[in-house]
Amino acid sequence: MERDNFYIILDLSVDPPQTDFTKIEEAIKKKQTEWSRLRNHPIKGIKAQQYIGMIPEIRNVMMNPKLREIEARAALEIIRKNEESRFSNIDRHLELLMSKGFIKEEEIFKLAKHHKVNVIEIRNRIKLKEQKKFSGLDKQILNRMKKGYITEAEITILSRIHDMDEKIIRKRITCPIKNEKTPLLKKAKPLDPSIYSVIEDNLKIIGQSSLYDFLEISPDSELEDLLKRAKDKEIEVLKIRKKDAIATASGVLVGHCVSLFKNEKNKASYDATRAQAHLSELNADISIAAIEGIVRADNYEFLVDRAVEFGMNPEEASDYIKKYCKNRNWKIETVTKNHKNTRRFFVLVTAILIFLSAGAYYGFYSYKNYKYKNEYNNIIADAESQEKLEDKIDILRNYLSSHTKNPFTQQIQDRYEEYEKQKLLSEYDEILKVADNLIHQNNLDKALDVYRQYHYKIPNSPQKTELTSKISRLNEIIEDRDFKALETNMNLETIERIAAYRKYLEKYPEGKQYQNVLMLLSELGDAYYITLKDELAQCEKEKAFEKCIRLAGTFITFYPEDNRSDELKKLQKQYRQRLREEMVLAELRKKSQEKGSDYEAAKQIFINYLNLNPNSPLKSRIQDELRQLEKKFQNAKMSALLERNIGLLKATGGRFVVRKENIVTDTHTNLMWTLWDSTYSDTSCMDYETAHQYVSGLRTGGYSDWRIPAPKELVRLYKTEPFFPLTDAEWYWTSLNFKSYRDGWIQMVDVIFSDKNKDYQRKQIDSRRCGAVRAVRP
Amino acid sequence: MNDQLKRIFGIDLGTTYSSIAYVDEYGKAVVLPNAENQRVTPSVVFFDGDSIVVGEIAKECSKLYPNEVVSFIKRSMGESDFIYEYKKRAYRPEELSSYVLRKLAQDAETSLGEKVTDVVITCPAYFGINEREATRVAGEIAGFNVRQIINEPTAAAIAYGAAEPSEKKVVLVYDLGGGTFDITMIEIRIDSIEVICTGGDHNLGGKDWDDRIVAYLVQEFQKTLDTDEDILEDPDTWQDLQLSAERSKKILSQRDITPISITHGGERIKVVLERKKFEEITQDLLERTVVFTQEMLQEAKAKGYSDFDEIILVGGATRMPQIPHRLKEEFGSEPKMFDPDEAVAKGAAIYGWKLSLNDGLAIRIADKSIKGMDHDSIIDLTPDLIVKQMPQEVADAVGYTIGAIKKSRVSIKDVTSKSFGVVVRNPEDRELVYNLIVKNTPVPVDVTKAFFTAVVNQETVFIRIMENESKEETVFLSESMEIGTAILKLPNGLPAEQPIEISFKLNEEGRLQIAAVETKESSSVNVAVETKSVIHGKELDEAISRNQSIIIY
Repeated sequence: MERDNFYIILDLSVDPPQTDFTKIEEAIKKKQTEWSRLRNHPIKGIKAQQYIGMIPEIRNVMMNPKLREIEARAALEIIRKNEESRFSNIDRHLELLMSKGFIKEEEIFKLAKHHKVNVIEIRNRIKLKEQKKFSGLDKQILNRMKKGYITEAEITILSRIHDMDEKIIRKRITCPIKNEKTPLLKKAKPLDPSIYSVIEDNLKIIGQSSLYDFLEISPDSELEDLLKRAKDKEIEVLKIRKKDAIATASGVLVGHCVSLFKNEKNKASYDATRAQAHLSELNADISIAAIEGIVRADNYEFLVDRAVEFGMNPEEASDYIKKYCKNRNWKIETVTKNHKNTRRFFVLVTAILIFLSAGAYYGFYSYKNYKYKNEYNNIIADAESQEKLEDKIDILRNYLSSHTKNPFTQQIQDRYEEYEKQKLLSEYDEILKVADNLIHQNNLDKALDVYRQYHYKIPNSPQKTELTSKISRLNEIIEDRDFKALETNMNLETIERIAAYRKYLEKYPEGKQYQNVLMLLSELGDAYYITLKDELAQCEKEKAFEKCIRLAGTFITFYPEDNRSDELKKLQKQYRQRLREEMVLAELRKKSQEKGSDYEAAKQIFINYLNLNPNSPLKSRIQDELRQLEKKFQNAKMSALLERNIGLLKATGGRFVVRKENIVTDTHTNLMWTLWDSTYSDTSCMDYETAHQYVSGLRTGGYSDWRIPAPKELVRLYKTEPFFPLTDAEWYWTSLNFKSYRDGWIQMVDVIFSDKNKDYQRKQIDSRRCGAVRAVRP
Repeated sequence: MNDQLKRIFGIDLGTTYSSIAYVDEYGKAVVLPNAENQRVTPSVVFFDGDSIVVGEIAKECSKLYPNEVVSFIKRSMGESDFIYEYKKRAYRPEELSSYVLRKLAQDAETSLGEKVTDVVITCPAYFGINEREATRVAGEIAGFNVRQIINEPTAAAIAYGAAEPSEKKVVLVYDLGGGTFDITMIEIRIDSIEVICTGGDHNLGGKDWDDRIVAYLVQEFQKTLDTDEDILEDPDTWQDLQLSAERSKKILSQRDITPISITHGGERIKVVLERKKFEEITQDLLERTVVFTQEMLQEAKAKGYSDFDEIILVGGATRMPQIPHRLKEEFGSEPKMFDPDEAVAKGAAIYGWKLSLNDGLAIRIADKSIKGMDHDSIIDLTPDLIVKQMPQEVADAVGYTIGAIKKSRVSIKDVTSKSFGVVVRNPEDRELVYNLIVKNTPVPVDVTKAFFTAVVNQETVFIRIMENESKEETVFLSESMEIGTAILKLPNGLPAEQPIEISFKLNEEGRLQIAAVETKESSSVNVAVETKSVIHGKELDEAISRNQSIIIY
């Protein structure tokens, strides 16, 4: 059994086939939700279950390119076959409508509408139909031959259906012909439609067309055999490995088989319902035949034949068709008579007509002529009586499209063309009026549009020459106007003037003043360029490189051939580079700022960038950033230290008093000390000489008499409690020094260690060593 | 409840209705009503914004919000690709069922005043491994300790045996529920319940009868208004007709006709449905149940059971008059309706009570806290033996009446509803399935069979574990479904025709364990069949976590 095509059930595009994995997966998920929702639907539930069960296989196929390709090809084939099947319905209806010998245009339109196709498709089918005349006949012969023979009655029916001589039909038969009447179907009560519908739905799932096909047994089998087969089928079904939709559907069908083939009455009901199932097709045929509210006699016979093909007997068929039409208030042209009598009557009439035709021909011709003339007069009178030209034209057009040619057709055609000409003329006058009005209002552009639209709509009107000339003249007037406008716009900004010139040149590439305007534009170029350079300098200064790029671009657009444009293009490139650099720097700054007071981390952002881009043009700017960060870091450090120190000094219980401007007074000695020693302000090597220079240069607190302390003074800070807060300095210079000889004379200086873990220490150090000093006064 | 024993509740998780029961101190099974004072709760879930409503209210809301309501979840249990989507989240059947279970438990807790922690949940006898596992997982997601999954007809038989004890009786349990049909032959004795044979279809139930009415109503609407529009495309109309169909079916069980109103697209028609017509359009469904029954009886005959004493009807759908009428016509015996809505839940509760009694006794054996016991011989005693030998002492110890204790002595033996086997090659090198465990074999069962390697130096044995419904020893591959695989690595240098022993162990609730051993060097592999169709792993954890935070009304 063939399964449903995955492209079709997923509603994916087939031509071209969808191959995007994401879209396919989306479609699968969407359908999975939809099928899950329908899982318990009373009618669609089994099908939904089947599809849900197929999801792993669907994924397998659709995610494999090779398998998917095969699936896409199969989908195209299915669509093609469906199209063919759709056409078979169209063909059947065409046959119905053409049974009278011709088909009207209106009928073609209505048929196209009914089947929701283009009219062209219907016309194509008409052509094809003619080519397939015999293939339809052969198919029906084959159907009837299935029972092993064909009856005389069936041949007669086929002859009528296909409007062919019985001899032609006999030539195409390859089985025995029996002289039997068409067997009558027993009248059995059909099954309830809901039951039949359930059976059909489940048969579709397993791909079978009837319960007999499902059981793989002939419809003519004995009841006993049918029932036994049903029970055997039940056992087969039970063995099906997976309880999927097919198993469920098969189970349902077995139930029906057991129920329906229990007795002859039930079986007959099923068979009758099957026969009647074709009714929906027949109903569609009847609807088409009655497309104008009435079923013609020949169409009626066609419909009866159709019903007989489906298995009804002629009386049943006739009753059914009449009832169907009555319910919809459709009339039937004639009542069915005995077909053989009708034929005989027709032959007789034809014979009489032929016998009388010679004599009646002239009279008939005259009558026809008279009739056509009457028709012609009526049509013309009708048209003439209309006030509006459009109405006159409509009447004549409808007549021409719906009537076959006759001797007066040409006259009507001529009249129609005359009216058309009048209409054109009238329209032309109308647009002239409109355009003139607009010109009076000085709305020249709109007037030109009016002319152009008319010319576009009717390119070959009789007034074509005149109109073209008007368009050309008006064009010239407008061009002159536009050029004058350019001359008067000298007060505008350079750039606006340039824009105006460019607009003129685009609008009138072959205008009279083209060269003049070109020259004007070119003259402006120099002035513009000078202004531009100033603007570029400004935006460079402001680092507004996007604006620079834009400004340069404008000149290039206006003066693409100018040499200066090349230079500007180079500049643009530089600006873009600069812009990129600015963006990078801004980004680095942003990331650095996000680190808050973690200056090391902030610096690392820039350091990492430089490591990755050692030759970056931003190098010096980044180094500036690093320096600033370092400064901030130091400042922060200092602030923290200050706070700490002040806190410690306050904790000395009033011995050390902090004054403003970083001075601390020792209340025990009344000496003033600098809060900060030299290590905080000078990181260079502070040898003894430098220390002297340092203290003499100090102006802390406005005092200029700062000095290097004596050892005793310094010791007092650290000997007696509460102690002065410690710092990072290992030792401090004192004022005590002497000369000493060590490979030459050197100066030795007493220094004091500020180590809280030990009592003060004092030692001599070479004056050239790097140390620190805490200044004191007075 | 006696606080010496932990209560184990019995839950009938039905396709259309569910219920919960427990056993009181007299040993009587009692169904607990829900918050709406109903003894059965519709198995319908309504997604109302961030909260979930289960039960009658959810069912009523289905008319107004058809796309936010899910029902008949049990029909999709074990289906790996069924999902219900709500607010871009996908819900599997196990999770949806867990909401129904939680609703039952919540209302029971309110009614009884104690927490529901341990449960026994029922499932159709005809459920396979995937479906049973899904039922268990539903319980776990709901936060329960699922002690066991037992078959519905077995549970019904337990309840029947408890209600009408007899020396020996062979009954047919004809269980036609909302979505499933089970037919089981059970031998009921004073102290045992033994399942002989089982059959059925887990896609045949009262819902199918409803669906026939819906199809009929659609046809009537189309005929009356001369349209071929499929009115079921409109979810509101579909839901409305579904509810009307269920209601009509119930009315026709009492009366001969019922009027039904169909409203769609501004049009409204009235249809009068006669019982005769209803029976006509559902005749084939009924016939299917008879065919299943006949099939099952054939299998029972092969086991030596050619007759039965009674047919008992379980499941709400058996209330339809056509059922007992047809069964009497077919089997000549008047079927007996036995508590169709509650028998299964009560039977599950009794089974759960038996388990809890065993637990309690096991503890007391360990504690040696049963008076009058000879403690030296405790090791040899099982809970069943203790109950048999000293019921009074047990009753005193656990606080139940002696009558209740004696009732708990019933032993329960079930059968497997499926056959389980492995894929092998026959001498003609054709792939077949060899059934180690055949359908209707009593459980628990442990079977070992030797198979042989195919070639010299074979490196691995790929074991494909199959489930099917055949009662033959060998079946075609096409008639089996693969439920798991295992790979056994073989040592080097093995000759061909080396024996490989494969063992299948199937427990009472249908859980299968497989072991394969290469006998020369004893390399082995054990595998518990992992049901990939059922929610597991991370998805399961998420569902459990979600369940804990969702409020169920």
